[in-house]
Parts: sequence; structure tokens; C-alpha cells
Amino acid sequence: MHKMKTRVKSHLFLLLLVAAVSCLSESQAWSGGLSWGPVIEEPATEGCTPEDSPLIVQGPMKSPMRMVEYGDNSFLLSDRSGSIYEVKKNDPAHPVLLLRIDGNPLGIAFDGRNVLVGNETSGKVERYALRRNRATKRSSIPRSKSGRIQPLDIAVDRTKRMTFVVDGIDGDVKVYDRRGRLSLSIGGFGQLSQPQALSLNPDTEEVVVTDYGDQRIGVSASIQIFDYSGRHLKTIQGAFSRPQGVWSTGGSIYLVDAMLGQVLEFERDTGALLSTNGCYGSSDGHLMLPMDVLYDPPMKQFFVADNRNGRVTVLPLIEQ
Amino acid sequence: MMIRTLSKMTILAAVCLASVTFVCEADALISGHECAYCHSVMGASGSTLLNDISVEVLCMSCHVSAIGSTAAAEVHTNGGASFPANRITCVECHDPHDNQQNVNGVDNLNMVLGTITVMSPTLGDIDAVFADKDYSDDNSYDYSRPGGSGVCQVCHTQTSRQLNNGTASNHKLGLTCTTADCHPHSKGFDN
Ligand code: HEC
Ligand code: HEC
Ligand code: HEC
Ligand code: HEC
Repeated sequence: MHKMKTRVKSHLFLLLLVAAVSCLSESQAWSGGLSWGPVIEEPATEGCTPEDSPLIVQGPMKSPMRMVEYGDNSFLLSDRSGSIYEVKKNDPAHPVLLLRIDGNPLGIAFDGRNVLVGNETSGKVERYALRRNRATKRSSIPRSKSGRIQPLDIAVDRTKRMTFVVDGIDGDVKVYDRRGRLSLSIGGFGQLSQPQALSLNPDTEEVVVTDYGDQRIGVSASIQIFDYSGRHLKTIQGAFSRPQGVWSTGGSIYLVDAMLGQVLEFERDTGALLSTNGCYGSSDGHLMLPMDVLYDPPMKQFFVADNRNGRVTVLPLIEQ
Repeated sequence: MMIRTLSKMTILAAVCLASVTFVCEADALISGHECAYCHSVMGASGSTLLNDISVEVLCMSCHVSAIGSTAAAEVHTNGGASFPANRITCVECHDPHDNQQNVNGVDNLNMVLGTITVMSPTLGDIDAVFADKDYSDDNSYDYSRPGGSGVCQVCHTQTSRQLNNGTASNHKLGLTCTTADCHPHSKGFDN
């Protein structure tokens, strides 16, 4: 049955080719800001060649998702298959299991005392206090029993004691106060379509959010920058279509694209692409479905949650 | 190389045609998807799309979390160490475009293939039926069927339940196999 369909399709080839030619010229005119370009692009990659037929090399983790700094020498990493790991920056190949979560953890954050885990299954941000290898579950956000969010990513401003959560259900960034009460929703009125991840810049009080956009209505993938009060400051678009985890310093924004398998560096003020790091694949140093990035300024390197390869990949920053 | 370029052009043409005239849209896709979700994506070129692993990356770029509320997925590996290593990817169970007809002449749900090719163990092409998720209406569903053609049986030769010959299949009959507490898709059906 299926084989039959395919054959019919290939008979239509000539007809389609004609359509493509007219389509090419047509779509160029209206492609402007759309991700729906006339040519299906393969990205230029620096320093390594993409693999033709990659094989998946499953690391110790099944589905690494998001990362957050945990002290000076470690970070925490969520694995969607139900675990939180602690990863030493000097030994990223050997993550240590810290917590088992009942459900699918997505976002993760650390507020100095508690680990915050975005549990997709329970629809809550769960707080865990860690003491002598024992985790005690504290109150969750949202606090009402029936309240459900899809906590795709979490960040905490420790001095202001504000918690920012990307909610995939409402398509906004929810801001909670120190008591876990909802104080603000950012981007919920069309400024964000399908937000995925976020990063805070406490010095400038900025929230940097990645967004898949919405192909159905011609909205491209983007980086959106807001201030803490939810005022929209800036949009950055570029050669990416599935922006996931993001890391921002004052001047630069580092972003991983899940399809490209690359870390892209953008200049905050101009939106210019400053560097392209890594490439798609499964061999050492290649990325397959990267979900998050952490930049390590002293070593000038990135830690990447390399989802399909089930590992943390370390990449040097290539200055261009 | 030539073949790749050709297939790239076919895809491009079809996608453009669909976008301009909407001819393909009605019957070629499930309602949750659009051509541009998978074609015209940076890094998802025609040639790479023909490779199962890059298709998995493409699917997972969206289904790594539940979009809306239900659609989180993961590849099927055998969680326990008791079975030979195995990793079944999206297009081994799903058609990327549409719901396929099964051997009974009915469309399967959720784009599940009508014929699943089972490679390990080497069983070859096997009819898979998945058109009914609801047990309560007529005391039957297609996760598990009396003869073994249910979607959660067709490949299983070594499990203690849900075997493809229809024996030992009445494990929790009537319950939905894929709920969060049992074998959720978001954990690769493993738990
Ligand atoms: C969910 C992802 C997805 C969507 C949505 C999608 N495609 Fe595809 N398409 C694929 C993949 C993957 C292939 C690679 C071939 C295969 O495995 O069947 C493909 C292949 C093709 C081919 C090559 C011929 C073939 O069947 O192998 C054509 C033509 C095509 N797609 C057209 C379309 C059109 C037109 C639409 C919109 C109506 C569309 N596709 C939507 C994933 C998708
Ligand atoms: C072993 C076969 C198998 C594999 C491998 C598989 N699926 Fe599925 N998938 C199914 C079945 C069966 C269902 C229907 C589950 C149900 O409704 O209980 C399904 C349902 C889904 C759904 C709808 C879920 C919902 O709750 O509505 C999505 C999305 C999906 N699959 C995506 C994927 C993706 C992406 C992959 C690859 C990462 C994949 N599947 C791999 C068999 C499979
Ligand atoms: C651009 C994002 C995107 C990509 C890429 C994508 N999907 Fe989906 N998919 C969706 C959305 C959105 C829905 C609708 C979810 C809902 O209704 O809750 C969906 C629904 C589904 C469903 C269940 C709905 C139904 O009617 O059966 C299946 C199965 C599925 N996708 C499989 C796949 C597979 C397999 C691939 C890769 C070939 C894929 N998807 C790629 C976004 C995507
Ligand atoms: C494409 C083939 C295929 C399909 C379809 C399939 N499985 Fe499996 N599954 C396997 C294989 C191979 C094994 C290893 C044991 C064996 O060979 O019998 C396995 C083992 C399992 C196991 C035991 C090992 C573990 O992971 O804990 C469970 C549970 C399981 N499958 C659940 C499901 C469910 C639920 C479905 C239906 C949604 C399903 N399977 C559909 C291929 C498949």
C-alpha cells in the first residue's frame, strides 16, 4: 500500500518539478521573515564535516535536557527519562545520579538551597531540598492542586528571589515571587508563540527567551528579549529554526539549535551572528539534538546537553 | 549524488505545490502537522531526511516535550537488560505523513504503519493493527489482539506478556498500555 503511494509520487515528479520552478521564483518574493525559504538549507559548518549516516551512540543518559550551574565546579542536568544528574565540569563524561523524579523532568534550576525541577508529568515545578544525599520535596508551583503548566525551562534570580518558568501550555514565561505566587506573565499576548527555553541576565535585568515561532501563520523562530517587567526589548532572528537552550552574558547570547546541532553566538545589541560552533552528528564532538548550552568563560568552552547522543559534549569556542 | 538532488527537488516541488494549491494537504497529513514542519527546516534537507536517524532528530525537535499536552514520544529501547540491545526509531513504527491502512482495510491511528518491518529479531514485514484504542465500548482494542496483530504485540517474541503469537497476552487487558503509570511513549514504552 505504502510502496504504491511512493511510486505514484515519483511519477508525478515531472509535474512537480515544473511546479517547483515556478514556486521557487514565487516564494522568494514572500519568504521575507519566514523560515519557509525556497531552498532547504544545509548550514555551513566550521571545523568539522557533518556525518552522512550517523549512528546514535547512547551515552550514560537517555535523554539529557537542561542544565544549570551548581556551585563553581559543577552543574545539574535533567534527563527526561526521570533523573537529575550532577556533572563535574572537569569530568563531564561521568555524571553522578542525584535524584530520581517520578515523571519526565524538563526544566531545572537551583536557587542556592533548593533544586527546582520542571516535571512535565505532574505539570508542576517541584522543589527539592538536598541534605546529606537525601532529597525532601517541598511545595510546588503552581500551588493550587489543579494548576498545571508545562515547565520547559526554569531560571531563578537569587537576589530578587524571582522564578521564571517557560510554560509550553500557555506559550508564555510565568514569573513567580518568593512565595511561589504568580506575579507576571511575559509574552502571553502574541509576543511569544512557542517559547522553549530562557536565560536571565541579572545585571541588566533581562530575560532572553528562545521561540520556535509558528509556521502555520508565518512567524519565524527567534530570540526574544524582555525586561523583568515584561516589556519587550528586542527580537533576534537568523539562520536557525529550532532554537532550544540559551545562555546569555552581557554582550553575547549563545544558543543551541536542535536541528542544526550547533552552538550559535549572537551579539546582544546588533543581533549579528558572531560564531558557529560544532556540527551535526554522533562521533566525538558532534551534536545530535542539542537541548541546552552552558558557557564556561574561564575555559572558553561550552557544555552541551547532547540529547540523542545521551551525553554532555564539551566544545571549544571558535573565535571568528 | 544525482539521486539525492533529484529527491530533494521532488520534495521541494511537492511541498511548494502543497503550499500554493493545497492539493496534498487534505489527504497527505494528519491535522496536527504541516509540510513546513519537516521540510524547509534549517538542517533538514531532502537527503538527510532520507536517513532514519536524522528523521528522528527532526521528530524529536518537537516531540521531545509534549506539545499542547499529549504528544511526547521517545524511541523504544528495551529498558531491562534481559533482552538483546535494541533501539527502534520513529519511522519503524510511524509513517511520517499520514495514517496508513491496516490489513483489515481500516486506517491505523497516530500515523502507525500498517506493515511494520521487524528487524530484530528478523521477522520481516508484519501486519500491525492499531485502529481502536477504546476497550470499554466493545471489550476489545488494538494494543493487544487475540491473534497477536495488536501494535504492542507484533514484534514481541521474548517478552513475558503481549507476545506476537497471541499467547500470554491478557496482562492487564482493558487498560491502556501507554498511560503514564505503565509504558508511556515519553519513556520509550519501557517502564
Ligand atoms: C512530520 C514530518 C513531515 C511532514 C509534516 C511532511 N513530511 Fe514529507 N517527508 C518526511 C520524511 C521523513 C520524508 C522522507 C521519506 C520517508 O521516509 O518516507 C519525507 C518525504 C517526502 C517526499 C518524498 C517522497 C516520499 O514519499 O518518500 C515528498 C514528495 C514529501 N515528503 C512531501 C510532503 C508534503 C507535500 C508535505 C505536506 C503535505 C509533507 N511532505 C509533510 C517528513 C514529513
Ligand atoms: C514501537 C513503535 C513506536 C515507535 C518506535 C514510536 N512510536 Fe510513536 N506511537 C506508537 C503508538 C502505538 C502510538 C499510539 C500510542 C497511544 O495512543 O497509546 C504512538 C503515538 C505517538 C504520538 C502521539 C502521542 C499522543 O499521546 O497523542 C506521537 C507524537 C508519536 N507517537 C511520536 C513518535 C516519535 C517522535 C517517535 C520517535 C522518537 C515515535 N513516536 C516512535 C508507536 C511507536
Ligand atoms: C514542528 C513540530 C513537529 C515536528 C517536527 C513533528 N511533529 Fe508530530 N506533532 C506536532 C504537533 C503540534 C502535533 C499535534 C499535537 C497535539 O495535537 O497535541 C503533532 C502530533 C503528532 C502525532 C499524533 C497526532 C495524530 O493525529 O496522530 C504523531 C503520531 C506525530 N506527531 C508524529 C510525528 C513524527 C513521527 C514526526 C517525525 C517524522 C513528527 N511528528 C514531527 C508537531 C511536530
Ligand atoms: C517495532 C517492534 C515493536 C513494537 C511495535 C513494540 N515493541 Fe515492545 N519491544 C520490542 C522488542 C524487540 C523488545 C525486546 C523483547 C522482545 O524481543 O520480545 C520489546 C520489549 C518491550 C518491553 C519489555 C522491555 C522493556 O523495555 O521494559 C515492553 C514493556 C514493551 N516492549 C512495550 C511495548 C508497548 C507498550 C508497545 C506498544 C505501544 C510495544 N512494546 C510495541 C519491539 C517492539
